[in-house]
Amino acid sequence: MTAYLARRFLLSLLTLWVIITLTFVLMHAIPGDPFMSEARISPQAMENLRRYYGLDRPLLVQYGRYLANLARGDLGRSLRSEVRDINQIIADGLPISALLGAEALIVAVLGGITLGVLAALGHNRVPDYLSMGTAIVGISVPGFILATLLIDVFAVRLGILPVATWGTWKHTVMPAFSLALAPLAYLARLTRSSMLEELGQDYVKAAVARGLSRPRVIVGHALRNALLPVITVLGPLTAGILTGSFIIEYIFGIPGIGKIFVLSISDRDYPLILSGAVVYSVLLLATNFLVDVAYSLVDPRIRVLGRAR
Amino acid sequence: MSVERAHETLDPPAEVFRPRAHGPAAKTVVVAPGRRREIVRRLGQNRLAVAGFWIIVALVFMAIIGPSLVPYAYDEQNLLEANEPPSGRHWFGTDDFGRDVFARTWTGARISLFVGFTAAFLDLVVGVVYGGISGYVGGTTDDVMMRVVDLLYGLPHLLSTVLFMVVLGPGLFTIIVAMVATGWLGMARLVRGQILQLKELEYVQAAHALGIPSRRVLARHLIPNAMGPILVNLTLTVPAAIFTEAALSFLGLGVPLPLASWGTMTAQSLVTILTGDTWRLFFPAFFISLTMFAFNAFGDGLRDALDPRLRR
Repeated sequence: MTAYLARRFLLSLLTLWVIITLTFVLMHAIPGDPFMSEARISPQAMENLRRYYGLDRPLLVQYGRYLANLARGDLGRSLRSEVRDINQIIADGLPISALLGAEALIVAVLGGITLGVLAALGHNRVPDYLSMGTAIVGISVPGFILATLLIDVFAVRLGILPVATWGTWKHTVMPAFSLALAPLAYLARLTRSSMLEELGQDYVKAAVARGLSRPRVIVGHALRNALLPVITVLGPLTAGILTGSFIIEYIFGIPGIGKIFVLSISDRDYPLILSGAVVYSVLLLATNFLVDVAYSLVDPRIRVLGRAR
Repeated sequence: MSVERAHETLDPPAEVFRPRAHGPAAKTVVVAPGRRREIVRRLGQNRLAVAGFWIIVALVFMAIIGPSLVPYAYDEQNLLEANEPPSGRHWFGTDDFGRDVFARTWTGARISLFVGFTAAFLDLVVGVVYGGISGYVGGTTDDVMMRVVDLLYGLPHLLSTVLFMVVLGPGLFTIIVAMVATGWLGMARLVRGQILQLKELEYVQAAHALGIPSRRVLARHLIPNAMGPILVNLTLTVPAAIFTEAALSFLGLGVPLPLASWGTMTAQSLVTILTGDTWRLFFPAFFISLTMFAFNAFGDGLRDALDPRLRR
């Protein structure tokens, strides 16, 4: 297993390097440089600005410097933002995004698995139709549409939830739900089909025949195994919630890194865009790696295979 | 990852040639043309899938004729008739520039469907060629090609698309390029998995023994037989691409104005939440959701119809 995880870890590092390099090259492939539009700058000031940001150096030197700074954990300086230090910008935004993301993930996982189990137990009856109806809505309605509808109903018409500010738990309800619905729907469908499969297995019948109680069979036997495929998709789902936060934070005016990233794009603040991409990639690769670890801990087959290698 | 995994566990079309000893699939073992009819029959029994199919047909039809049903162009402004609710003159009302929302909605449908189908088609072409070669040649080539895919697969889709849009600038074709740049990876993995399973079968060996060139074996035997899961993946790629376009346009990174995209129409209707003209929000929101529903329902139905074991 250690060998397997070591390989996964190396692959993640390599992917990160590819992402950083690609993003760096992409950002520098854009014609012109960030100061071109500021016309009223004297040539000398322009020269100084370019030197300050290291733009006068050859690309390879800039790249080497960038990597060296990244390795030290220094993300560089933003071009436009009032707070110039990108580390500070990320440090301000990340806890907010993390809180929102964690809330959405918890809602999605608990809600999705509960709905899925209920649907499987009430197969082809009312609970099944209700859960799958929710799942269909969740997959059909994009997060940003749901967010706008929620704002319209709960903030404007009913006036019971606040919008466009950030502070108390009330502010997190609508954004977290908008972020959670799509993964919740996906998890509900996945849990349902995987649960149905397990409930039809011989070992479940054997457990029932041994006289185990129904909850014990369902939770202790069937659900345990049914959750295996659910764990595999946690990586991609977290990725979905992370990238979904671009739009949701933008709509709700939440000062997290998603909104910062979107604004950096419309500001053409290249160092900030680059750092945003790096931060997101690190988060995603870390999640995927953790999911791999979790999966190999839960599924004995991977443990065995890993050892055999 | 999840979607691919689900597809990989699909029945290989091999069941046509290898009758299963027991289980529900046993009675579906028939020759290829009959199997196709069987799939269509199973698809027809799935009410959601049928609904999805007819909604797709209706959407395509309206995207073609919709904009020409009204005497207004999608970008024709009339500030005297701004923000009108739906009426006999303007069936879906007008927006804040007095543009006809009916014309804009179906122009938006053209864009959404065009982006969806083109991105899916390009994913298919790149993915089938790449995955096909990787799976068929095998060995070191396969190893190297798949490591490249693994590396790029770590990139989050929306993130890489956004970055490509930053570099390429806004526009319909750059959206498609940006989406395909990473979208083909899933298809390549899927096709490779299918080819790996199929190429060990007797009829492929027989084809080789008869001296049929590799390219022909790949094009005539392997790819067509791997078509089922590929088709499912394709059907599910369309709504994903439509969603990405709408999301990008919503953020202002998608198609430039005054072109009507459902994403920009939603974004521009956001202010109406405060002014009270919320019906303007209704049309783009409803049609995006309807389109997503239709393609997802049809794609799911297709997957179930191809693999009877998943149906209960």
